[in-house]
Amino acid sequence: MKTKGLVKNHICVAFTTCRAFFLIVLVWAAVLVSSELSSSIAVFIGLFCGVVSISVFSVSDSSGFIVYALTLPYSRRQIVSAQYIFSFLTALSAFAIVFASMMARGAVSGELSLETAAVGASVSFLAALLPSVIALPFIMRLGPEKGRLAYIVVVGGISALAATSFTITPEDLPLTSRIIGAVSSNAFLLSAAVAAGACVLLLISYFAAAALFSGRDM
Amino acid sequence: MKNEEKNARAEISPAADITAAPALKTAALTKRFRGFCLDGVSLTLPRGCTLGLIGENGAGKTTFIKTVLGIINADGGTVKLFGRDTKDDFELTKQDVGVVLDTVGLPGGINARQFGSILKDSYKNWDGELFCSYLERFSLPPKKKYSAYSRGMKMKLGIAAALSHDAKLLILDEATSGLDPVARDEVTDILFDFTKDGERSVLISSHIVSDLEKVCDYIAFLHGGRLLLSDEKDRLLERFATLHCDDKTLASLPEGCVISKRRTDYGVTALVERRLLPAGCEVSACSVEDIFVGMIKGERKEISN
Repeated sequence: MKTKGLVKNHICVAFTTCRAFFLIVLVWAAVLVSSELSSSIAVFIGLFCGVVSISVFSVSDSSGFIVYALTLPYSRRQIVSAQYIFSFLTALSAFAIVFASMMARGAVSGELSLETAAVGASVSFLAALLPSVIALPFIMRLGPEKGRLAYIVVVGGISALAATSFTITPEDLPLTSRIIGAVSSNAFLLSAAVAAGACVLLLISYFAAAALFSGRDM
Repeated sequence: MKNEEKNARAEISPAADITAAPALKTAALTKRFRGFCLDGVSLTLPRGCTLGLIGENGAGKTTFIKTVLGIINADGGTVKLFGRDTKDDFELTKQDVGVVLDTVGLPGGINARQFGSILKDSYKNWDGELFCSYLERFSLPPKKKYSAYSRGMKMKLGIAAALSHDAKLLILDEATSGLDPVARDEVTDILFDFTKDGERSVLISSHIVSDLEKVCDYIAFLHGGRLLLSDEKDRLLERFATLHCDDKTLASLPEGCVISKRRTDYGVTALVERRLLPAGCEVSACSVEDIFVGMIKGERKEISN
């Protein structure tokens, strides 16, 4: 892999600066296995994994590593690729942790369900990718400080949009409702759809970030 | 190839071999910021040579180097390294370039050993043993976190990394500024060794002119984003000289001869161009620093006039 060195840097940074988040993830996984709380708390594992990604990129940018990386034999596109590969790896970790935790939870409670574990893991995968998908294009263009502000504005905007979408009823979007209904009825199909949707969002975000970073003066 | 041609070719130093593309060539390199402009800088660094880029703070040295490396996008002009345009597959060209900027940007939690591992996956010609030997030579603890390194240690780590992948061109931006005199002397020795084979080149920027004077073959003066002068060091030292005289003698000198002047208790000390001096004028040799300071003062006087 051409970006191996950069991905290795991100992994090193994650293990040296984000240990607290790993601990939090493990605690949440233990809670998911052993408590009677709703399995929807699995989404928090994904979110914390997503926060690890953003923290690593912020550290890399603010420490000057991105500037240094531009002196190494990498193109700007490869520097962006390394960040998205790392995001994908953290999301995969979230998927694996949640899947294993939910299977363990099922084994403990005697209600083992592969479907529930798959759905929970894929939702966690999406939750882990979302912070990078939204924030990275802004961070790559504006830097970590302004990028974070832009991220907050965008999340606020998405939340406002989501709030207004509660007024839309299934009768307003009949075709969409039928598709969602068909997919939701099959848990594995739902998991695959969620994971695929997350990957599509990641790709769109990647191309946007690569284009925005190419014009940035460091 | 005939024997006479071979012998003639062997006697020509690589620096004078015009068939080899220069290590670095910029043509009208321009970058505009609010309040500053790197204005059409055209510079050539032949292979096997060391070019010192001298300028006061804010002259544009770092902007120039960052624009060459693509860290900053140029607004105009071209940059070629080893004859290859930096717009074409620059990441491949960078395999042969070692860079030390004024700050070595590494995340604080990483140590030298991890850094070496990252660079091993970045450079095809990475030499881990050489890197470790430089760590030892510079007394850099391999397992100590980067955030715990002093400024000088950070710089030395950057230099060790730049020298450990068989680079053909070394670019150093104020790399010796944070080092103690002993370390600076050591780096100077390393740079001498680096260019000994006649194939490797160095571009070094600094405002510590005395360091550059020891090691450079070519000198370029940057001031206010413009290239004031660029020439071989020896030719510069032959071209300019220091004249100690009185006001009357100074007034009698031809126009354009005096670059700058400074009044002392004993008269006037002027930086002059030797070729414009009348015969019989006694001058003394000047240093590169004298030329640099004199040219900047001369520029400022022109601007204020």
